[in-house]
Amino acid sequence: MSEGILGFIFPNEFHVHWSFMIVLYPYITGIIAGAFIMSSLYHVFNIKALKPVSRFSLIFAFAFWTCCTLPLLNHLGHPERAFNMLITPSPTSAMAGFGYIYGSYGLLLIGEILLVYRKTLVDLYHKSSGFLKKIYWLLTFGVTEVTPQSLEADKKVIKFLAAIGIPWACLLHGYVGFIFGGVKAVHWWFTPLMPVVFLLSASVSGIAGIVLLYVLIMKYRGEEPDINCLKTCVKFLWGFFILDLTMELLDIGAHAYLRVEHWHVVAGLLAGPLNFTFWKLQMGVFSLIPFLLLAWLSLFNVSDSTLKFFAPLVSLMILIQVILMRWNVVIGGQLISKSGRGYTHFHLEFLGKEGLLVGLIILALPLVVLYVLSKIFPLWYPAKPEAQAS
Amino acid sequence: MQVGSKTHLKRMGLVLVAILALVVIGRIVLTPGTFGRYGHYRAGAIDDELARPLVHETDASCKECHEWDASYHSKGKHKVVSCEFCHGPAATHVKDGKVIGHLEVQKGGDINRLCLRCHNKAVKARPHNEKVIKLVLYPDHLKKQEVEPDHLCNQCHLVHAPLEYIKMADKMFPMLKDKEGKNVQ
Amino acid sequence: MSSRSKARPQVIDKEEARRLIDRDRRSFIKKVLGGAIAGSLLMVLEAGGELLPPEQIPGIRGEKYDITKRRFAFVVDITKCIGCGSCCVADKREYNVPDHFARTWIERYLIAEDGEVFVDSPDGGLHGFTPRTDIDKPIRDAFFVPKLCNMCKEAPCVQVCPVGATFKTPDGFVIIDYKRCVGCAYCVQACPYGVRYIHPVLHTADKCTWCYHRVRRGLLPACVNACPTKARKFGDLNDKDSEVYKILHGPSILTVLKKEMGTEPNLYYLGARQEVI
Ligand code: HEC
Ligand code: HEC
Ligand code: HEC
Ligand code: HEC
Repeated sequence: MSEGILGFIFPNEFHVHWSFMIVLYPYITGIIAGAFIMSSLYHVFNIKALKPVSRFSLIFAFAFWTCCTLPLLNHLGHPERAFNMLITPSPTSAMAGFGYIYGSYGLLLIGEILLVYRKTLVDLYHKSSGFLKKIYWLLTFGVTEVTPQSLEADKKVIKFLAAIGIPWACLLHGYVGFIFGGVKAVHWWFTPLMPVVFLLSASVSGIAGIVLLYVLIMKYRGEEPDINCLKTCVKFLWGFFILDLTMELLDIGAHAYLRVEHWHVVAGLLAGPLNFTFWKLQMGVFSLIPFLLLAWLSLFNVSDSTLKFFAPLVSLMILIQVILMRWNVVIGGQLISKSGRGYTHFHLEFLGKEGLLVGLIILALPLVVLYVLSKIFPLWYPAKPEAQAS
Repeated sequence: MQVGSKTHLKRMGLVLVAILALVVIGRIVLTPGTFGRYGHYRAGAIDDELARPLVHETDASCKECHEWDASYHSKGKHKVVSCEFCHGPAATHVKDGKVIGHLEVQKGGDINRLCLRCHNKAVKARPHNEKVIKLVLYPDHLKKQEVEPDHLCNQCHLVHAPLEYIKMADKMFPMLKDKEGKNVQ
Repeated sequence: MSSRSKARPQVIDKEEARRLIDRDRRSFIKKVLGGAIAGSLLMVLEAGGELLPPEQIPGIRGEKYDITKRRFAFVVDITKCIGCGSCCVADKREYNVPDHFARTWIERYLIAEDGEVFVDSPDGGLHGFTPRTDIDKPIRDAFFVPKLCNMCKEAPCVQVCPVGATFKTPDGFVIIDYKRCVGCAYCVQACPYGVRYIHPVLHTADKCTWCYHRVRRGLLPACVNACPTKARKFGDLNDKDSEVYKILHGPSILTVLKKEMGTEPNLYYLGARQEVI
C-alpha cells in the first residue's frame, strides 16, 4: 500500500482519483482547439498557403470532438448522471460550464463544416444514390443546388463562424486549463498562467497533429503533400512552440525565484516523482530536440524531401511532448500531498478500466471516426485541387 | 422546389433553434422538484441524509438493560469511555428495544491490548497531563504490583470502573495503601 | 466469566432481556453491593417512530427545528487527544467507511529539537498508535492531531461541484447528495484538507458530515460521543450554555487549518502548534 510513497500523506491520498483518462481529456480538447485555430488561419486570416489543410483541419477537429467526452465518461463514477451537468450546472463551478461550452462548440463546428462543404455536398448528392444520397440530402438541408449568390452568403457566415470560433476554441481550451488553474488547494496547478499554457500547448498539438496526419495520408494515397503548406505549418508550429515553452518555463521560473512556502513542495515534486517525466522527457528529449529541429526547418532552406521527413517526425515528438505535459500537470498535481509533507504514488495499469490500453483505444478512436467522416466529407475534393492551386 | 439563396441558412437556423428549445425544455423537465429551495441543490438530499439509520447510540441506551454494568460505569473513572467503543455499536445488538445480535466481549490478551491503546505510556505523543489520562508502562506497571506480566488488567481493575476493586482493597487492607504511599481515591 | 447457555432466542425483547440479565451470575453480587434495578425508562419515542436515547445536544428535539436559524461549531483540543482512535473506530462503524479511506483520522506529530517534523498516521489511527521507534533524535514536542471535515463557510468543494451535489445546508453542514453526484472527483481535488474521497462502492464523493443524521436527532457526532477525553467538542452556538459557545466566546487561542486558503472553517483547534497543517 505504501510503496512509492514519500514522506507523510493524508489517509485519503493513497488513491490518485484523476487517472490517465483525465490526462487524455485536455489532450483531446487541445487537439480540437488547435486544429480549429489552424483552419481559421485560412478562413479568417486568409493565410492562403494553408488552404490545402483548411478543410481537413475542420473534419480533423470534428473527429476529435466526437471522442472528447469518452475519457470523461469512462472516468466518472456515475456516467449515467453526466447530463446533470447540463440540467443543473452550478454557476460557481469551473467544471459546470464544460457541457455547454463543448456542446455549443460542436454546433459551431458542424455549422462551419456544412457550409464550407456545401458545394461539395451538393455535388456529391447528385453523384450518389441510395442511402448516401439521403444523407447528403439531409446534410444540405434539402437545398440541392448552389448559386453564386448563395455561395456569397455562405462565405460571410463562414467567416463569421470562424471568427467567433477562435475565441470559442480559446474559451474551450483555456477553460480546461482553468479547471486546473482554479484549484487553490493544489500548488502545482494554482496559477493564472495555466489557461495560457494550456491554450498554447493546444495550438501546438493541433498543428502537429494536422501536419503528421496530412503527410501520412498523402503518403498513403500516393500523393505529394503541398510543400509550401508544410513549410507554413512548420513555421507556425515553431512560433507557437516558442510561446508555449516560454510560458511553461515562466511559470516554474517565477515560482522558483519567489521561493514562497509552497515552492518547496513543488520543487520536491519536480526533483522527485516528476524528475523523469518532466525534466528528462517533457523538457529534455521532447522539447529540446523538436525545438532545435523546428528552428532548423524554419530558418534554413531545407530540401523538400528533408522537410517531408522531418516535419512529421517533429510533429510526432511534439504530440508526445504535449501528452507528457498533460500527464505532468494532471498526475503531477495530485502526487503532492495536501499535508505538504510528502508525495503519493500513481501507478498506471495496462488493462483496467482507466488503464493504458483503454486510453490508447480512446486515442485511436478519433482516427477511425476521421476515416468514416472522410467517406462522407472528402478531405480533398475534387481529388487534387490544391496541388494545382498553389 | 423553389429555393432562395438563403434557404439552407434559414433551415440551419431552424434546426439550431429546435436544439436550443430541446435543451431548455429538457432542463425544466429534468430538474428535481426540490432543487433550489435553499440553494443550488436538491433540498430533498437533506432528508435523505436525515433518514440515515443510527449505528451508535449512547451509553444511556445500554443502561436500559445493562443496569448493573452501567451503574458501575457511570460512577467510575471510565464513565468517559463509551460502552460502544469497547463493545461495538448498538445497531448490531439492539433494534427497537429488542436484542437482535450478540456483542462480543474481549478476553485474554485482547483486554490488555484494549487498555493499553489508551493507557500506554510508551506512545510518546500522549498528553503528560494526569487530569487528561494516567499512563502506565507495560509490563513495568505489573512488575510494580509484583505480579507476572501475563496478568490481565481486569484481574485488578474492574473494566467498567477501573478503581473500584482497588478502592475496595484499600478499605479492606489500609496498611497496603500506606505502603504504596499513594492515594488512589 | 458468563455461565449463560448458548441457546438463546434470536430476538429478545426488553422484558426478557432484563430477566435474562437479572438471572445472570452477577445479579447476586449486584444485590450484595446494593445496586437495584430502578427500571428507568430513559428512551424517548421520536416523531419518526424511532426509539432514541436522551438528548445530548439540548434544544434540537421538541419545538420545531428551524433549519435556517441554527449554527454549530466543532472544537478540537489538541492538548487532550490521547490518540486512542476511538473516534476513528466509531466513525468507521457509523458509516461503514471502506478500508483505506477515512472520514476522520488522527495524525501523530513528533517535533525534534532541531525543528524537523515527523508525522505519521498508520491506517488513520484506526487501530490506535504503537510507539515510534524509527526516530533517533531528541524530541522536543509530541502530540496528536485529530482531523475531520472543516465544514468551511467558504467551502471549495461546494464551489467546484458542477451539479450541486455537494452543498451547504442552511444550518451550516456541507453534505453530499448521493443520488446526484456524478463522481467527477473535482471536489476531492479542491478540498485543501484531504477529507474527501470517491467511495469505492457508491462511486460518489464521500466525506465526514459531522454526523448530520445524529445531530438532527439531538445526538452528538459519533466521534465526539466516543472521545474519552473530550478532545472533540461539538455544540450549538445558539445555546449560550454549550461548551463550544463558551470556548468561542472566551479568551482561549483558537486556530483554523490553512487559514490562507480563505475557506473559513467552522472547525477550530485549541492548542495547535504552528507545525500543524
Ligand atoms: C434491549 C435490552 C438491551 C440493550 C438496550 C442492550 N443490551 Fe446488551 N445484552 C442484552 C441481552 C439480553 C444480552 C445477553 C444476550 C446475548 O449475549 O446475546 C446482552 C449481551 C450483551 C453483551 C455480551 C455479554 C456477554 O457476556 O457476552 C454485551 C457486551 C452487551 N450486551 C453490551 C451492550 C451495550 C454496549 C449496549 C448499548 C449499546 C447494550 N448491550 C444494550 C440486552 C440489551
Ligand atoms: C474500557 C472498555 C469498556 C467499556 C467502556 C465498557 N466495557 Fe463492558 N466490558 C469490557 C470488557 C473488557 C469486558 C470483559 C472483561 C470483563 O468483564 O472483565 C466487558 C464486559 C461487559 C459485559 C459482560 C459482563 C459479563 O458478565 O460477562 C457487559 C454486559 C458489558 N461489558 C456491558 C457494558 C456496558 C453496558 C457498558 C457501558 C455502560 C460497558 N460495558 C462499558 C470493556 C468495557
Ligand atoms: C478509550 C480509552 C480507554 C480505554 C480503552 C481504557 N481506558 Fe482507562 N481511562 C481512560 C481515561 C480517559 C481515563 C481517565 C478518566 C478521568 O480521569 O476522568 C481512564 C482512567 C483509568 C484508570 C483510573 C486512573 C486514575 O487513577 O484516575 C484506570 C486504573 C484505568 N483507566 C484502567 C484501565 C484499564 C484496566 C483498561 C482496560 C480494561 C482501560 N483503562 C481502558 C481511557 C481508557
Ligand atoms: C496486580 C494488579 C494490577 C494489574 C494486573 C494491573 N493494575 Fe493497574 N493498577 C493497580 C493498582 C493497585 C493501581 C493503583 C496504585 C498505583 O497508582 O500504582 C493501578 C493503577 C493503574 C493506573 C493509574 C496509574 C496512575 O498513575 O495512577 C492505570 C492507568 C492502570 N493501573 C492501568 C493498568 C493497565 C492498562 C493494566 C493492564 C496492562 C493494569 N493496570 C494491570 C493494579 C494493577
